[in-house]
Amino acid sequence: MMRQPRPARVSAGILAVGLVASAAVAVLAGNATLAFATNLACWIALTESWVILSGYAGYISLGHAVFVGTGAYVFVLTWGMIPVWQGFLAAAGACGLLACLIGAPCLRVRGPYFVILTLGVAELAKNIVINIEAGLGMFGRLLMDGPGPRPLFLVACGLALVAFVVSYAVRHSRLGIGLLAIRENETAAEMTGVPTVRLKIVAFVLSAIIPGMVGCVMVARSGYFEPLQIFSPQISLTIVTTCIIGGIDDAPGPVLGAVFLNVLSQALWEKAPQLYMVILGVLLIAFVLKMPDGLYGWLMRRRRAA
Amino acid sequence: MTALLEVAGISKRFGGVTAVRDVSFSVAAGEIVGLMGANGAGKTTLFNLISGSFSPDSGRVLLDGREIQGQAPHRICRQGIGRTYQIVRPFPNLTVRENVAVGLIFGAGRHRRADLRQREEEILEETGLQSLAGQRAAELTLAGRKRLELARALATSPRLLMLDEVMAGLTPAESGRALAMLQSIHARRGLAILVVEHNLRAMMQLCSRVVVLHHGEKIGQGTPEAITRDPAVIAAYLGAA
Repeated sequence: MMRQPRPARVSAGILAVGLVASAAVAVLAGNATLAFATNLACWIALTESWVILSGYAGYISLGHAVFVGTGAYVFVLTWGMIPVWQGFLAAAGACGLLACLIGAPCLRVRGPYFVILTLGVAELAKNIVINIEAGLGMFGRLLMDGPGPRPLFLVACGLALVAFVVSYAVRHSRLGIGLLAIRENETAAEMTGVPTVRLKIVAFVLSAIIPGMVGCVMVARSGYFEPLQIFSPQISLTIVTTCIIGGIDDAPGPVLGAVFLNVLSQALWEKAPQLYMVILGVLLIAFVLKMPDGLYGWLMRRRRAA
Repeated sequence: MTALLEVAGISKRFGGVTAVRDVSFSVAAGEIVGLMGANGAGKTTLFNLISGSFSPDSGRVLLDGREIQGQAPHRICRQGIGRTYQIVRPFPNLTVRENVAVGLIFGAGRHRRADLRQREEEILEETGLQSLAGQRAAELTLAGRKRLELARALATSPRLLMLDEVMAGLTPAESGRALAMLQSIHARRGLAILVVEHNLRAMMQLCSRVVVLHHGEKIGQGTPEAITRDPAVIAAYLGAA
């Protein structure tokens, strides 16, 4: 009989492959590959963060772009005033704080109400930043002399790594089982002693910090801050899509989803740019219908059945 | 001697309907008290008031002499009151074992991590769920889910266990087993139990004392034998004037 794949072994495997791949890319890759890999690492960092609240506790956030945007904004505002690494920390702190502020009221409502509320809050934040910038007479900010692509790739890999490890650690901790209980039946969870409000806020803060730093990487890469782009709901939607495709029940899911979607979109973008969105849409429908527990859930079930 | 649970003059209105009106009773440590009453008498509302799902409009709930009314349900659970729901609410996609683990981790018993597995086994054995430990809760039969509801409540290490119709919907054979299980749990753990049950025979066998509610008010209390002879109770149940 085959040994059952345990989450710990699968996760350790993913971690090992990721580290080797990152090292190889950092040493060997040319610019195009480096850009692709940086992008991929950013998406892994974003999606792994997102599942902590939205996957494990089932509170689907449709507004995670607010953290990417806020992180980027703080990074740009502090640019040149403090060392770069402090800019990253400032972005992380601001996003953690923002999650507390947003979470305290928003996490009181459940289901579709929470989803809509997160979308609304993200749009609100976007428009506030747009108006502030317009009021200051700024239409986009340039980032001069930013870090080069290779250091940024390493930072992105670091963020992906930390996000993955944190996501795994949360999932298999006491906090994680409390979050799952909230997802499964929040009323029963409360009655079983789970401090639901506190756990949800902790999860929200954990899911917000790294996306803030990913925002820094994104804006440093492009060298240009434009609120419409960095606060775009497209980012939030892509996070959700990626996680649904990969699986939201454990740390390996988002990685699989991010790798699958990034490789696929790269291939389609090159070979069939006209069909790109069509194929992606069909795939998403197929996934929702045929693999509701995502690639990872599907693989685990196949292994169990074998 | 102060009672483990003391409910003092508690009332709850929903709009114009008074679901519970000025109800007082107590449960001593280790005692099994039954709560009787027709549908709509306010039994489940009373449960919700004690367990923290609702705040009372007036009156007090005391656990070991300390007021707990109006506190959040998870705080009340951590002080030692566990409950089950009439309509079971398992964590459907978690395994039976994980359902129990939630109670152990977040309940009133401060277990060390190393002891969790052992405690899980004890609870599963007590409730006859060992062979189902790895199954998802959603896959259990109704009888299984009722037992899981009980197991999860027990896992929170309650000093007072509140059971809301754990036998409803079970076959007579299943009810018999449930009754025996409750008696052995009570004998072993010595916890106090507040039980709502429509199955009168089970009530008679289980409870040392019964409190009767009618239209939200307490109309009598006493031993099961005395209660069944109480004219006010008979009138309420049979509808006589």
